[in-house]
Amino acid sequence: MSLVRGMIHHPNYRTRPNRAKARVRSGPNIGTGPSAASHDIWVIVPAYNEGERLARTLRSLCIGYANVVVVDDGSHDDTSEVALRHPVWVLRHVINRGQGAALQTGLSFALERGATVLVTFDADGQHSPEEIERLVEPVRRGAVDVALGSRFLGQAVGLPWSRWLVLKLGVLFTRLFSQIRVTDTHNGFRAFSRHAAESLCIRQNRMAHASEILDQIKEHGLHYGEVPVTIRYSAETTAKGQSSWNALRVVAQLVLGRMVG
Amino acid sequence: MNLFQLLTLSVVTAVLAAECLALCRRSAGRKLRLLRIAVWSAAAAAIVDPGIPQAVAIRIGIGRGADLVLYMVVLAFLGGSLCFCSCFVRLERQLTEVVRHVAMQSARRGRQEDEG
Repeated sequence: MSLVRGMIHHPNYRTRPNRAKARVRSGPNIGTGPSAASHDIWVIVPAYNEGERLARTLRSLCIGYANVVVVDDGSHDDTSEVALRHPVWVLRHVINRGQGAALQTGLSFALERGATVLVTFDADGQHSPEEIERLVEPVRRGAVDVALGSRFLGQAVGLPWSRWLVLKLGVLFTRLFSQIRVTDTHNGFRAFSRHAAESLCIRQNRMAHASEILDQIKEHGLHYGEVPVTIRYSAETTAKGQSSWNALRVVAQLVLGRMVG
Repeated sequence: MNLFQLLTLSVVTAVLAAECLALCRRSAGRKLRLLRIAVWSAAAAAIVDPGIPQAVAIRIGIGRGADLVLYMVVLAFLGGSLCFCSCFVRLERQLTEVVRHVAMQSARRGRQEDEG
């Protein structure tokens, strides 16, 4: 048995921060790719104008996972057509509503179909399908309700310094405003138990959903933990990804969303 | 009473009358309508006697009636902006629900490339 360098946060530990860090003992499938039981995992892939990179992502995902849901968030390119060439569920937003909205659509669809473990996975190839098993292991075991991928516990290959700075500021912002201690607040690689996915209701349509998810984890008293993952940045993902200045917009959306309730 | 007072007062009076009529006819949104009636009444009073804002300003320590009106306008603008933002966010959420419903109803299953 190996040890995962993740932190498990339990609601009971809130008043005892010195006990907040614990190690998760991993099962035999850790890091070994998809297992025979991967049919209970539903992988949700929100995609917007990802026609070029989606095929590669889906090819690698479909090797091990039968239940993949691609949510085309009103793309102008051939994202839906590309997805339909693979054995995946394809849902299409008729207009662009944002990544948060696409994630909630995928989660709702998977729950409706009886999913027990739900994984959110980026369409642009930044995440590794081989790490899904390791991510879902604490959820399957019942140790946590939500497993959050962390590139800062794992690896961030080719992470630009400006993005590193923004992500670190995001961590600080989350600690101050949401009172949640995590090392990576805006990582799209997460795993939810059915109970957690049913408890969550993502109302932030756009990028502020990541902070909203953390807020709701705390609000519902869900058990969560962080699992080291690898995020690979390339020139094209960095170019298409969120501008660092968008962080200000995320904060504004979050504040406005909280005011509206 | 000068020409400006006559014109603005007639407009405000007409609006006030319409609000009062609507208040009598409909029961929905009573509180908001009463608030609007109070605002229009205050505006009418300030037009008829410009000394009223001045007196109120002196009483609450602002000093000048014009400053009082300016502060009230700024506060009303901020409140109105927040109100519109809230409405916009709610509409956005409703729109997302509709888009989600359509997407889930029209979900399609893809096929392997070799299945054609």
